Amino acid sequence: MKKQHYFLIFIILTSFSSCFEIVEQIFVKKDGSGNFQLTVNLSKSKTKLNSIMKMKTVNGHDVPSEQEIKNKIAEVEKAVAKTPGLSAVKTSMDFDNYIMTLNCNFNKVNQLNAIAKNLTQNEKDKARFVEKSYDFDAATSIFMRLNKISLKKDYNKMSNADKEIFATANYTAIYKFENTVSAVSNTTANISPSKKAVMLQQNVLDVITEKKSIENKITLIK
Amino acid sequence: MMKQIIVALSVLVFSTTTSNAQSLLSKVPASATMVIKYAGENFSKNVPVQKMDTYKFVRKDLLSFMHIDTLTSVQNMGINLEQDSYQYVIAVDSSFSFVTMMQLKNPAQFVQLIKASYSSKSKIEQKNGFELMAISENTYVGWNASTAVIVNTTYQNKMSYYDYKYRNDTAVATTYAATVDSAVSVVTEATAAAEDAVKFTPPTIYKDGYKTPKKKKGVTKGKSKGVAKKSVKKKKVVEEAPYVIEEATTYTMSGEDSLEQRNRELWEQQQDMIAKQKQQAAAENIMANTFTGNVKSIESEIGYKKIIEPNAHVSVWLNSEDLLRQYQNYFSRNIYGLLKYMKPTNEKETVIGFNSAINVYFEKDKMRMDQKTFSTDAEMESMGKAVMNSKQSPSMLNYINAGNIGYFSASINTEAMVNYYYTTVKKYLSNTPYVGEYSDVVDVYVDLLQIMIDEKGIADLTPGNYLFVMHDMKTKQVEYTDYVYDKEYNSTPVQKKKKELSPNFSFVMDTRKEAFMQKLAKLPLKYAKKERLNYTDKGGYYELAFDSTKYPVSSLYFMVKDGKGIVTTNKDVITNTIANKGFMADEETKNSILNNNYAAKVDSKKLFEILGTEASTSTNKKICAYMQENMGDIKTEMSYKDGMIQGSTILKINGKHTNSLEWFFNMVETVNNIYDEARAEDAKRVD
Repeated sequence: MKKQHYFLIFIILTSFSSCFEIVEQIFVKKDGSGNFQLTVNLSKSKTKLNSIMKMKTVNGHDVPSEQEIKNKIAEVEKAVAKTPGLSAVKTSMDFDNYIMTLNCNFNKVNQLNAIAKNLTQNEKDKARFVEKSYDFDAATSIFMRLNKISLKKDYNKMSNADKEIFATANYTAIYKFENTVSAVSNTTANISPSKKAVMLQQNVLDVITEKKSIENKITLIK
Repeated sequence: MMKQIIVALSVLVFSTTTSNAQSLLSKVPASATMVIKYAGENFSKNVPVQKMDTYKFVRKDLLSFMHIDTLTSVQNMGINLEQDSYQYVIAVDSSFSFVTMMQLKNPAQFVQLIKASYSSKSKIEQKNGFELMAISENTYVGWNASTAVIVNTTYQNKMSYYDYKYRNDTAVATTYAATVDSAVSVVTEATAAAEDAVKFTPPTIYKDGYKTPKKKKGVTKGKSKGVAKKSVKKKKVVEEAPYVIEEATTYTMSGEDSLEQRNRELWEQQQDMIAKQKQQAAAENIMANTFTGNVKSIESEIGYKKIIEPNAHVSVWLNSEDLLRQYQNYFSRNIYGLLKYMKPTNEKETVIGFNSAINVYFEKDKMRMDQKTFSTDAEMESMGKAVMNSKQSPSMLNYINAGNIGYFSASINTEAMVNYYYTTVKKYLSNTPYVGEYSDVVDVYVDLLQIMIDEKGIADLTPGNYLFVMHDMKTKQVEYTDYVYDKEYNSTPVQKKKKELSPNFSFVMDTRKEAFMQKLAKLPLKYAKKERLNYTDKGGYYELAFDSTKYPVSSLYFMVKDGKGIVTTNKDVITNTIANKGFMADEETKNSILNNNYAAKVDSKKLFEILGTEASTSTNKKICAYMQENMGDIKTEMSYKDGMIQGSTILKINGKHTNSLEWFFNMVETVNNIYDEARAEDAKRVD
């Protein structure tokens, strides 16, 4: 399964969806294990998606059937489940609201880095995914969210119609910890009153075009 | 995409070739299949040449598109834009040519422009009475002291290699018998071949080595060399093949394949050369006729005179039949071997087709496009008349509400239309490759089809009266799932509501087979459950209900009553029909629909207002806002009058524009500026 296939499905599902949201939630325990959840919420565009799902192509891309989408999601689940250290991998797709979720537990935060790599067979793309996206050093109690994978070139190659889908899309990251947060590096991130959670919200287009960053260094009190 | 359309439209309006109006029309051949006239008045009065220089898009996009120096002022191009100019399409000498004729006001400036733009690549040749420059393999510019002619031409009779190969069995057999050792050499006889496509010299086969082709003066030696080199490399692959037996699944080019490929490449090179020579010959021929020869002009042809209005600011004349045939040929020529069996493109049919014209007027407050279609052939003319012999039912007016966004009404004689199709199918098939040889058989088959098909039955089912109305685009509330977060960022899914556009439309058609239509409407009831459709009988009508939270339309209603089949999203339409009531169409709409075979109207302001609310980007919002302010209603009518099919389309304009041509230029400029701003904004993001 090539990464492009997932990307294409994503493009198709988000085509004409003026609004969608990606929510990334990570809970990290003291020992570095925890839970990861990724949600793609297209619910705000569901009436358009219902119409698109009845079409054969949109913006020049083939529209997959419900079954094809289910199959792809099942493949994602299988690929993620193969990743060492990850357990209780579960995916879901709500076709009434067009909300997709991926949920799993991890022994170490670093194990999440292998997810993207496992979803691609293309060597060139694999090379792109060797970069770390998540890191946690239990010794220093520092959690890192990195973003070394540049999508700027991919974005520039897109047609204007495809580009438009990112204009009003949002990205939300929520990180929760057993330990108390003492500092965050990203100035747009907020720390909860209990200092056990951090939230960061950005416009997807700003992230893709690297105008805004989702990177964050979260320092915890030991 | 929008931009490309705008540039293309601009080229159409702008590419005013100048020339003495009368003399240039006299140079348009009677055999042209399309003729476009641009009146000099457009640029002497409507949008003066000086004003044109102030439009950014004219230089930035238009001149750049035409590969002309963008710093050149439109006034200094040497072209007299204030005189009428012409463009025409002609198929002659197996070449399909698009010709532009312009009058020059300053030949020296024009030559300077041409030299500056193209002379680095091409030479100027002195011909009898004019100068000629090839600016590409298929585009030629010719000029004298008063006129310039641009010919863009494509040779259509390129021969297929496979056609040559499989129809020259002896030659092919010889070639393949000699490929045992696969070492070959090619002798190109390109010059000779260029004289006649069929005289292709197949490669000479050498047993023990590959020789480079013999070089001939004037032949594209670079290309031949390239082919030879490439082939040698391929041969190396063949030699290495025995050492990789285990990788036998990998395809390796054999000697036969190599020779075959070389033959084909050479053949294609030859065909390209022939095409180039033929194209230049066709272009020179057209220019010689324009500058020094006598042309049997289209100006005195009845098919042209009758439908072209001399005062139009832009007029487009089409010989639809010839154009269709050329269109077929254009695509067929790429299919190997087909063209050989086709009739020459300029051969006239025994039955003359329709001629059509659009006469465009850039008036002060509107753009008017008058269309006329007629045939000089009595049979075709009578068929056209029969098809248009129909009147829209007055009861259709009951479905047009006041304040609608737009409607389209059509009234044609279905029976006559079906009969017209038989003639069209016969003509189409007799011009189709291979099938054309059996036109008598086709004729019999179509006649048989005519016997089997019940035209009257079809006409009873659908007599030809149709109406589509976009009543409105209402907003409806739809629910969606969103997440809210508490102070500790725990997420909770919540149902929120938002407004979305929902089209409100009706489609109505007349029928004399009401019982059959009733059966058709009832049919889904039986299968609704199985197909998971919410299709129910509501007593007199049927409702296909959709989950209102999932689809932009909540219900689609189906009804058959009083000789009408109705499909609508509008419950009022159903209620009115049951109560034998209807909407009250205004007098203008009533006259337009009842007095014409085709009538359509779009309330542009309302349409752009609605589209603006759906536009997701600021660029689209700005364009919608501009169009809403500047574009007026669009209205079209068409009927049979004075022995021909005549129609008129009126596009009203709003805003501060001197006339509709200036409105057009202003619109293109504004839309371009909006796109430029968006690009600049996008660049800022990416940088």
